[in-house]
Amino acid sequence: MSSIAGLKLIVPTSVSGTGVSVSSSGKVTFTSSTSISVNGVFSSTYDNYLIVVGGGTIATGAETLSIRFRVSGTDATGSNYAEQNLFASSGVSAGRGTSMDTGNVAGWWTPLRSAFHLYVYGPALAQPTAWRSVTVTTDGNAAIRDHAGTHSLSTAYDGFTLRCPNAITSKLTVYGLSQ
Amino acid sequence: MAAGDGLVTMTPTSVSVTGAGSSATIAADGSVDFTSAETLSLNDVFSSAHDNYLIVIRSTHSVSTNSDINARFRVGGSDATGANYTDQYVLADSTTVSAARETSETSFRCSVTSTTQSGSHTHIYGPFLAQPTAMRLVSAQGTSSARIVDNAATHSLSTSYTGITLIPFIAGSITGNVAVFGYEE
Repeated sequence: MSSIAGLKLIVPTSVSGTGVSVSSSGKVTFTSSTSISVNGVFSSTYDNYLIVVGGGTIATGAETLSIRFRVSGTDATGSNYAEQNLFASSGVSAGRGTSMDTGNVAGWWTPLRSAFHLYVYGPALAQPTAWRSVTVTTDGNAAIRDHAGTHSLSTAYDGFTLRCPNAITSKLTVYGLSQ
Repeated sequence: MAAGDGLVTMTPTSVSVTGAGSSATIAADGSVDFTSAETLSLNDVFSSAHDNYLIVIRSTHSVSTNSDINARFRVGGSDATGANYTDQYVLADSTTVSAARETSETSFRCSVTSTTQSGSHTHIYGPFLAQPTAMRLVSAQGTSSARIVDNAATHSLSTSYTGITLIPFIAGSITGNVAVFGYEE
């Protein structure tokens, strides 16, 4: 048995969106942003990825964050996303969305901080992509709103756009899982 | 491996696979690419170097839209086939949330698969330690849409295991990739 480094921080080739910037080490910072595009993070080097979005806040109310995969700077906007959510607060409930033009990944509430891990399986492979989020958010206390999703197109993507109708402020990092 | 990597790939010393037309190849980065696998065994991925592990699986199933991928621990080339596994799962499928416990099982729910893309992260706590083992699955199961399938599991034997065997629950075969990572400590 041998061991090699298994989780590698990826530096985007570029980012775009109002209030969006990236450091030389790869940390993407966004302030009061509704669309955060991250380019050049998915490649043939890795099959699977981890996106960590931590310590985030939303300007007002409660809203769903979603993702669109992209390649060469263009989002995949077709109705090819589906998602399953699980919400656990004082009770538990679930819901499903199909034929969506964006894939839900989290729900954020004011005023406390929210965060999530997003596992993305095979986005740079020319086959359908799956993702799964593990979240913490607030509804005045603490709550779970996890999502599983699929994107049915067999397209190799190199980036993504994180979206939210209400402005959000946070940081994110992208890691490749060695495989 | 450099100190401080945090999460390191555990390259199997060997793999074995069954199924018509099946194959399994250890890639240069330590993960395993497999096709048409009815069983897939990874040998010597758990050791005294790490207590806890993460298994990442991306797969499709040959025929099933919703199948689990079960697993058994192994040591010395033999699977632990006794009824010593327990599962607790929660499923979110459209607007329905359900949960159930399964006891005295001969394997545990390690991943999920489907004819569309599915993926999972499974945390394995202490498989090499001579004490019972705990496992936790977080997954996305691709069907015509998507499902959340999470699972917590235990294995009650105080055996030190070095490997794991993956077995699709529904008859058929799986194709994809699996990687085992150790948490540096």
